[in-house]
Amino acid sequence: MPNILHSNEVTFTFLSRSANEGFARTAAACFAAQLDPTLEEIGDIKTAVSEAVTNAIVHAYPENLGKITMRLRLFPDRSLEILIRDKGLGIKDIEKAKTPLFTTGNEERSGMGFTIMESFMDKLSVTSKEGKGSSIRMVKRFSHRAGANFS
Amino acid sequence: MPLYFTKENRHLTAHFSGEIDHHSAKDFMVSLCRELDQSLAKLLTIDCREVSFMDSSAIAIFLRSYHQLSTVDGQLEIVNLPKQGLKVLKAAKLDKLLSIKTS
Repeated sequence: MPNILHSNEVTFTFLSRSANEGFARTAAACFAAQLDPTLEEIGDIKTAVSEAVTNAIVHAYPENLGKITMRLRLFPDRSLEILIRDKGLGIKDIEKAKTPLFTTGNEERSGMGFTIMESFMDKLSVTSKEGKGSSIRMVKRFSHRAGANFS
Repeated sequence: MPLYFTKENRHLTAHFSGEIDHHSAKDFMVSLCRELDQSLAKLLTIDCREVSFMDSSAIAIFLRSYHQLSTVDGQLEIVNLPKQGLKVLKAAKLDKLLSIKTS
């Protein structure tokens, strides 16, 4: 059983190609596996990361390719912090962007990305500057599983 | 094959497989809408037995199909939905709008 005594951290930078959505969520799930999460918790991480990375691909870089950085940090209190950062267009009105069903994307977007991120994670915060880019920070606290030896 | 169809009279079944995300959603949506148009279906069953992951891109596909069917008084049902997918639809409150059967 894993014994998380120390924090741990990884950072990835990848191009805003939609093919990288699968890479990002799988990498986040693999990193979180150190905490011996449940299948449901793994599903939550993958879903939230998929939404955040898709947001960056669709809205930050609509006309060109850009770089997306994903930083993952584990803490001894069994929490995972996910930071998804881009240097794209930025979000003009964050509260409006978080409104369910609101989207400026194309027809295959539902406008439910932030709603799902909020629902699947324990904390969500968004910062953005027009023309400079956006950061989405999410925190998930993992359950203590019977028999696991965590500090 | 990530999406194939079976048809019996005016009952169309779309068998999805793999991951439904923004990367794959457009191809799924184009194929499904075209098949719906051509089949004149009144009942669409979306079978998610082989779906391993879905995010909110699946919501757009389901809602598009739902609205397309509503123009011909048709019905949509989603079957064999995995737990992760059900959680996505519940977060969007679509479990109240759509007919859903879990796996």
